[in-house]
Amino acid sequence: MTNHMVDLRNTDVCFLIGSNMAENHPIGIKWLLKGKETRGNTIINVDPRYTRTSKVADIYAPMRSGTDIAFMGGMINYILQNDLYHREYIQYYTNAPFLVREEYEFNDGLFNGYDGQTRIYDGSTWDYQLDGEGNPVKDMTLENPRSVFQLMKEHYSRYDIDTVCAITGTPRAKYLEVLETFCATGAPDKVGTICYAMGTTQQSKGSQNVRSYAVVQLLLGNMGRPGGGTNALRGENNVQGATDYGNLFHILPGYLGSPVSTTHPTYERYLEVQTPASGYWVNTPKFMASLLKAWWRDEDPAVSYNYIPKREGAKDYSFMNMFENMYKGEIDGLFVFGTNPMVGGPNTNKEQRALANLKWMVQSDLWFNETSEFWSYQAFDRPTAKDEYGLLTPPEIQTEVFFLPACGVYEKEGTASQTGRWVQYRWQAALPAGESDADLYIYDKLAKAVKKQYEGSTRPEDEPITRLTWDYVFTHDHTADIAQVDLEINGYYVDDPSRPVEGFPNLQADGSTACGCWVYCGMLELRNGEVHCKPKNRDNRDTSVNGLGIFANWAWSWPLNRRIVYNRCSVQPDGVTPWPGDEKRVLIQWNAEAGRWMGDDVPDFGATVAPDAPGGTNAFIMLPEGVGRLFATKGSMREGPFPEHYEPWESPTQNVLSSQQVNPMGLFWEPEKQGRPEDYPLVGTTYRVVEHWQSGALTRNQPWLSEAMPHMFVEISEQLAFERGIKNKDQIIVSTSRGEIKAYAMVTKRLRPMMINGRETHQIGMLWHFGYKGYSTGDPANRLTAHVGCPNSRIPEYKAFLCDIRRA
Amino acid sequence: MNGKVNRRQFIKLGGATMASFAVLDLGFDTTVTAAQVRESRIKGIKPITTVCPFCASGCGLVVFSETDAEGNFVRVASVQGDPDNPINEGNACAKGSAMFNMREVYDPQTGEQMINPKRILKPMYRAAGSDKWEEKEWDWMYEEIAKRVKETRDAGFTHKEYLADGSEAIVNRNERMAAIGGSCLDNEEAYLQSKLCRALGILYLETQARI
Amino acid sequence: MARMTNLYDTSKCSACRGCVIACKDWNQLPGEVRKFSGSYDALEDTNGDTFTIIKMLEHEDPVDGLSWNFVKYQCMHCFDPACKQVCPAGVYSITEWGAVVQDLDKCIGCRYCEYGCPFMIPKYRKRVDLSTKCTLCNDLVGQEDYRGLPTMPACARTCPTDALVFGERNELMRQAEDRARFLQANGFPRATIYGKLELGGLNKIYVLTDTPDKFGLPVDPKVSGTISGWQNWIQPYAAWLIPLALAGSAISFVTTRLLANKYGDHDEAHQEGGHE
Repeated sequence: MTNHMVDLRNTDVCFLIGSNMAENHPIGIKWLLKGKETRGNTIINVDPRYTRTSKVADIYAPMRSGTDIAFMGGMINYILQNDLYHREYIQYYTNAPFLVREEYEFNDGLFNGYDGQTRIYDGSTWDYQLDGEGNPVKDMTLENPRSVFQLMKEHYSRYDIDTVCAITGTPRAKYLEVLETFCATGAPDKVGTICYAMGTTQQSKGSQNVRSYAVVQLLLGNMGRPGGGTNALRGENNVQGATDYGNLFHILPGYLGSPVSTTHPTYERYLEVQTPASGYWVNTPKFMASLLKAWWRDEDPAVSYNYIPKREGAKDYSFMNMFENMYKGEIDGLFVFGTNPMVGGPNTNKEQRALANLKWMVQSDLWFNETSEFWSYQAFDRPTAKDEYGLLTPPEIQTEVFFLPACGVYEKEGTASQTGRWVQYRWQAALPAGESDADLYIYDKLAKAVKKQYEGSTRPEDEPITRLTWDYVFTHDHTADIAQVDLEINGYYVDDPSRPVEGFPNLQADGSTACGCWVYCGMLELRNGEVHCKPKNRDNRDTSVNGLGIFANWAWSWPLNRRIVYNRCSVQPDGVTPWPGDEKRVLIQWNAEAGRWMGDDVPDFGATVAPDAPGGTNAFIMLPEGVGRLFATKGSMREGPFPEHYEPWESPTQNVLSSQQVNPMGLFWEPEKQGRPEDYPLVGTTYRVVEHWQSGALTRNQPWLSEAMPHMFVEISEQLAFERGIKNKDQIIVSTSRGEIKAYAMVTKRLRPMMINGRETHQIGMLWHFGYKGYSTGDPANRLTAHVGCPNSRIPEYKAFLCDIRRA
Repeated sequence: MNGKVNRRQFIKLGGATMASFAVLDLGFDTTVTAAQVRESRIKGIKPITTVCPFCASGCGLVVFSETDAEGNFVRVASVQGDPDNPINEGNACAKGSAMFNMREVYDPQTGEQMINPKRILKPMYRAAGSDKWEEKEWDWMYEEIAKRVKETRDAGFTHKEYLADGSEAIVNRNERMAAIGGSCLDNEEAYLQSKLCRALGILYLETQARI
Repeated sequence: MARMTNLYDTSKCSACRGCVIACKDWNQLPGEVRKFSGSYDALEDTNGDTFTIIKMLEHEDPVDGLSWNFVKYQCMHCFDPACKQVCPAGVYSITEWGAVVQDLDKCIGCRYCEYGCPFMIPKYRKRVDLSTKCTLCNDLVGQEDYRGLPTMPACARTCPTDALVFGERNELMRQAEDRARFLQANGFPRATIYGKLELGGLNKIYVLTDTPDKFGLPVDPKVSGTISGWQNWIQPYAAWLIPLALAGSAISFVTTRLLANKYGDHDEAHQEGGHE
């Protein structure tokens, strides 16, 4: 989230798309309904189904799964055609006035630079025109035909209302109501927010979906202001933290790029390539050196850089390709820490078969889930004998499985980073059940056991392990043990290792500071000689003057306790004047006397950079150009500078906007398994309910939640049920080219057939929480989904696929 | 309680019509309007605060635990929303309200409180080709895992690579191993996961953000 | 002590079911998987181990289109409760602030209260041979939490959207009437309140966005004449009128048959869960 949960109450209009907030982030509804009482806000919900969120929304509009960009493209067009954008905001805080190089063009669904053979874009010409001094050329009137503004206007002129509604299936009147209501927040005194979740990201163009929201928010002047923002409602309690710490193949802790052998063979080259000329990432050498010191304290960073594994060229190490390679037999050992891919991963029939190729698997969890027991007879039980990837029995599976019982969240201690980046402390409230143990201790003992195996080795290839700094002294005094790790995460001075670094501006490139994750630097401070952990702060008074719900002394948020990012945008370019009519939602203002920015929030800006100084209006400090990108430059978005609509990999219709049917750079592993509408006429999608969570491992093992939502079901419309002769509560088989599942039919009025490009089209939806373990059981919906993904995020396309149903 | 059971057993003997004897036995009390004040069963317990482990909203929870006379933990009494946390102000949805069940349950047959029977309380091992789990000791597990790690890493390790220009790069790549997970762990754990996996040369490192 | 009650506003409920589970947590109630109900309402009714449920009712109107009506369902804590009238064992009483509570030590498991209740709320808990129901968290009202602040029923405490609040009935009634008027003027012309006059007054107040029947609530709930008769005529003599147990059987016969036919009997069968 750019903003945070409580801030939702400050919005005038909340647009929920790709998020079923009432089910998956119920506390968000609390703040929206509070805002309804204090501000009279409007809640819009766009979703293929009428959900619990739709019930509390003021406006509900249906949309076919996988057509977000068409929906939002129509909104961009509506904003531009009707002059509803926030003019001064986009002039100063976005790249709307920047002129784009002449080579850039768009033609029939493709941008320039596409190589049809490799299916890769060369985006190097998607860039600004530069003046003699290398600065981007701008036209503040926004009239120049090569300005981002004019190019955008032209690009989206094709997204007229009738075309959009034919693609999305949204009734025209409803679509117009959404457009009018949300685009009204372009007025300077209005702020709207867009909240999204996995409905948005789990598509073959998920990242561009998000961008289409961000573009709308920039055009309407809704970024960096209370009640605004583009807010990802993250799905797991600490997925933010796990990401911050670089538990993804492409990033190291603190979003430092993970090195690739060809591009970053040495430390020197790494710093050269990864450090831009401007923007906050100029500090990359300080962050990287400090990380390397945290991991290998006794080495020079230039040496320990070699210890970090280097990716091989363009090789894809992401989740789906990992399982593809495991399926091919390229991987022998797997660690599974608190995750259940046999329910949560895409195409689980294939992924389950892949696990059987492992020599060993180590899992830590509270319970046996479908991943723990992938080798069991039950795991290969199918509704029909048909299985695309082969059925095995336990004797045929040679994988050794080590199951380490983990303890639960209140049986241990630690911090977690919620979706608004607030880092909160968890105290231990109960003893671990049985012999279960905290993952902290499991990692510690594993690391020490492995180090023991390599004890005495002098081989250079073993140095990453033998030289690894792993000297934690854990005594199961949770508070003291966590403090040791927190000090390393926050950073310390190498020559005074008990002294925390005060904040990331103090980190050094010379190896004198160690810091495990620079964005968390400043989480600790010295108070009266004692190290204080700010996530433990529990002063819950609102620290803002106008009751915006800032709570600066509750917990701590990264970076530097900043609660709303890009907050320079909450005041006019002059740095002093509030946006007209919006005096109460100013977060920071320039104080000329003090020579610094002051206000309710920590400035997301150079603290002493005056508004009229160079870069004084560069509100987006993480980008080299300092302004929000309506136009994504230089291939930063792999499939083009502007979000463009393509159909999902499996679609019931043709793309009517261009002859490019699917994302030109989409990731598709099994082209032969692309379902055709002749065989699989129904649009399928998956989702969650409030009573369960993700793959269900934590909730299906709980009696109360299992009782409240005990069975796997598929929601189908009354019309489809009638056509297929299916009654409510019947058992049905859902099939795709990847597999089949059995589930109960839930016939509902909340799904209806849609008119898509002139044809009546049925959509069905199903829960993906279920598996055969636990108190409440059912078939995993992900036996149906495909290894298809977004080229930027590499997130699977769970949300739109073709399927068929029949009575079981 | 015993007296009651006996009386009830007596009534049961006679079936429905015998209820009238009970009426006689107990007498009708038509005047009871005074409060039957029961005391809160968590009175005097100072709760411990934590954060809900489900969605990423970050709602605070308070855990009320029963302790013995020496202050040692006995069992969980209730888990509720943290009234001081500004994100949820004491509220909790179905999942947050169910956190008691993560550790303990009430048995549907007896009503007794017990550790959730689905929790795994001992390290467990499944041998190659086996169709069952075996209980093991922690030390055995760590040692055996460490052996597998070394064996797999050393067998498939790439220390150096020649680049297109003929130069040599140290790559320290362990591509025969992979690691997934971490998004439901605490920060400190997620950090150690990242650090350990990188030190082992693991490149296939993915958390739930990807899926 | 003034009457204290819950106000439940259907327009604010998102059916997160926090109240359902918080009730289970506080009242130490087991949970159990039952067979597929065909809708989101896995718990279609209260039972011996479930004191409150949220029903989610789809309703289609030719003019207004689709609505999904969420409603919390539990003991209404009637001013003049039928359960108390029919109970032959003197289990029921009313607290000074208006909760209808049970002394389960006295319960004989005859189930008259279940059949006598116009809302069919008390339910039989087979394992202990008792009928149970919502207590309005009698053990939490009038007490202080660890911070020294007044505590309230678990359901109201946990509700994220303020759909459920707890307070003095007179004050909440005023709020409810204001809210209903507001809703009537803002897209819900049939919005109404429930619990003010029904059965002479309920110690639960509802704000409904539509008429009670759209929420599965009896429009004009009534206590059967036989039951009223029981209280008015027989109770004064109960202590010495032994043969009146026969009358109890008669009531039992009528209500059991009628209700079993209408709703089915959820509590007897220990229905098997899991995938079939």
